Amino acid sequence: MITLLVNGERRTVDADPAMPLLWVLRDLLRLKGTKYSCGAGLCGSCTVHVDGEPVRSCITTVESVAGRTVTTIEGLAEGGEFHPVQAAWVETNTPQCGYCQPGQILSAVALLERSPNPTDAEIDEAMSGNLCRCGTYLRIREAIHRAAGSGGGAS
Amino acid sequence: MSAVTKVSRRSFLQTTGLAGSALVLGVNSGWSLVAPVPGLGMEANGFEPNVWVSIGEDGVVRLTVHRQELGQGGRTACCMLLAEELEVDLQDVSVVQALGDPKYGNQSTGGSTTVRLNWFPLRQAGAAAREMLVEAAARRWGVPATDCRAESGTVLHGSEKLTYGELAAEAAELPVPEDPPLKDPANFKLIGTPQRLIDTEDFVRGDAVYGYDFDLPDLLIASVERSPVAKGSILGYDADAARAIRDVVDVIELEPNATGLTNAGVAVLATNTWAAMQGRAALNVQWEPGPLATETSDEKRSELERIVSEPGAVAREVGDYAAAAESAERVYEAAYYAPYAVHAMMEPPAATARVEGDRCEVWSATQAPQWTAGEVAGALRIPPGNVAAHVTLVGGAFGRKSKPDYAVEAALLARKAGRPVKVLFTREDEIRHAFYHPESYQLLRATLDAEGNPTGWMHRSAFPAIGWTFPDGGASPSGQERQLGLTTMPYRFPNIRIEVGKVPSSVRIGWMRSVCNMFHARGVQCFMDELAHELGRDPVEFHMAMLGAPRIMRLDGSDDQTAYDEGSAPFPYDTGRLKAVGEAAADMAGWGRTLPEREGLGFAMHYSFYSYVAMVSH
Repeated sequence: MITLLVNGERRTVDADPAMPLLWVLRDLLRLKGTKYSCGAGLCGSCTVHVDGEPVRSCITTVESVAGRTVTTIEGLAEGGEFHPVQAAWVETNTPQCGYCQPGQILSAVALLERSPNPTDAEIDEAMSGNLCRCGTYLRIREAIHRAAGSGGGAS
Repeated sequence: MSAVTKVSRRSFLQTTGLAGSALVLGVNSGWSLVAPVPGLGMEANGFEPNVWVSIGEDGVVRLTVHRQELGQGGRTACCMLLAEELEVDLQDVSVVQALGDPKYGNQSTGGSTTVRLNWFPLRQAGAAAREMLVEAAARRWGVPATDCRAESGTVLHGSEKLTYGELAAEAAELPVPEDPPLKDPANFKLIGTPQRLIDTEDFVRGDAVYGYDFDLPDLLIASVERSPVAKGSILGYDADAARAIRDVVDVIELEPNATGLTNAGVAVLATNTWAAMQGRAALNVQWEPGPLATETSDEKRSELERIVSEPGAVAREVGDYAAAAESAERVYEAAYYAPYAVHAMMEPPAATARVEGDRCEVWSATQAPQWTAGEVAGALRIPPGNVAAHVTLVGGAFGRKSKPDYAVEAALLARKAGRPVKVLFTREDEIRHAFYHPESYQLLRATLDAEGNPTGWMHRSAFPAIGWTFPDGGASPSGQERQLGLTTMPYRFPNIRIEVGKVPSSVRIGWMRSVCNMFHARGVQCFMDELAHELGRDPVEFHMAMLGAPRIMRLDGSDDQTAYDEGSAPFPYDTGRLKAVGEAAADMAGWGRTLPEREGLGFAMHYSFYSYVAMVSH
């Protein structure tokens, strides 16, 4: 039995300790907002926060996060209100197919927590590990500026 | 072109299971879309309703969207077309995703057809409903309908106002107008404006359900080890080793599908994805790879080079290229090869199936729910009408998810397992078991006279045709494939000869994005650029000079040509628009500006599926 704190709730799972956090979230806890895409930590679709830091849940064993705090896309909104990053994503109409966007949003939240008003270059650097096959990168950049309250175009 | 018919409430309820709908309209689309899928009888359903509008007494407008959302905004666009003419606000439209059913016409979401082919039918559906609602209000008030107007889900007359919900029951008693007036585009409120996708909030909340996410009680996850070579067969495997993995429930062998859609495989079924993957890794399947195992990419490329070294079938001819070559001062030549390519959408293929007796339900991330239903029925040997093919949201498709191989696998496994099964492709599966964009080879020649004037254009294109995808395939590139950027070459060379070569394919191929436009645009545009440099001319100036005076072109240069097999083209191919788009792009990019050492601008422009595209890269 492994216990972790997921989106503010204590959750105990009976899982192979080597099972990646991704499958624990999706298959055992039925939190499907965290996405599988490459399974090798290369695309960022499975990004969640562990103790506030973004990690690739597809290559993170559940054993390694025992007792730690995990935040997924489902845990970002508070009291039915979107997190400012989610709100900015909606306002800028950023998603196309939407599949990579939970991972993009969690990477953006982590970026803004350490750098509240990032430049374009900082955004591009921080978001370079999150792939989007639709190519929404420019709107992701705009959404991050919007969430930061910088109005975009900082460089 | 299309007709709107009233559908009885009873029939609508039977179809969609929606209650509380007072006014229900269906629309027939008389257009055939891209090539009909063989074997589904889709060619002969012109008068069955394919798009549904309903207005409940609660005022809720429901639209059944028969096309899929792949990230292109198709679901939202369908709603916009309806809402525009119906005069309702977009947020008041509720969307029901259609199952795969021949009654909708072709639901295959590809070929850039969703807006193009629903442009009139959906607008007519909205307009017909609006006219009926206005007429119902006019009768209630005893005033001429022409004195009333519709706005934001209401009908207005002076200070009087009735909502659509209040009028729906009376409107449903009226005859459907045969030719409802469509709005003047100058009065569009939604069409042509940026709108948020209707799924956006679900996307950012993490609530959107894709094929990978779909869930059912008692569901097993299947991970399938498939033959590493098409048409290979199984020699042996260690089922016990797979069953020894925690949470593994079953190991099931899959026979290759008779249509060639699926290959042999061994599936490991488990209560979670990780266990299914671990069990699969333990299988240690031994394969008899079969006759295709000896093919190599190098050999395939050599074969293409050999094919383009000889004349092919003529696809377009102007003047006498051979004579131009004979008298040319010199001939400039270039060739462009592109290998097989894979779609790599973010969401790998995923489908869930539940089989009960001779009935099956599937839920898949698919571009083609009708084809899914047909193939699943064929594989299970049950009537196509016994398959309900649901569509989930789709995390990117790019043509790969036109193929229902994964739904077929899920259905076969669900029947054998006696439980619902979800087949999940890993990323490696997606790359290895794709229906690849075909390899291609483009050979181009331009003949030049003594003054450096271009006198002739020769383009020989070789690639496996899409016909190889189908069991009865093996064709040369079709008319439509030739129109995808090959025969549509717009430059006015006095002598033109365009040819295609027939290329056999044992590799599974399929549609990808703009299909043949990809390699044709690359060949034509790179060659034009090289030629401009060879002649010491500015590339943009050279493109525009060779385009000449604006003209309407037929897609293959012949008379009475239909466009993309859709009947007479409603939107002509106008080289003047291509020129304007190219000039706009060059202007926006500051073409001609001075750049630092070893930097430069590159220009290309192209016509694809009625769209004019130009790009400048720095």
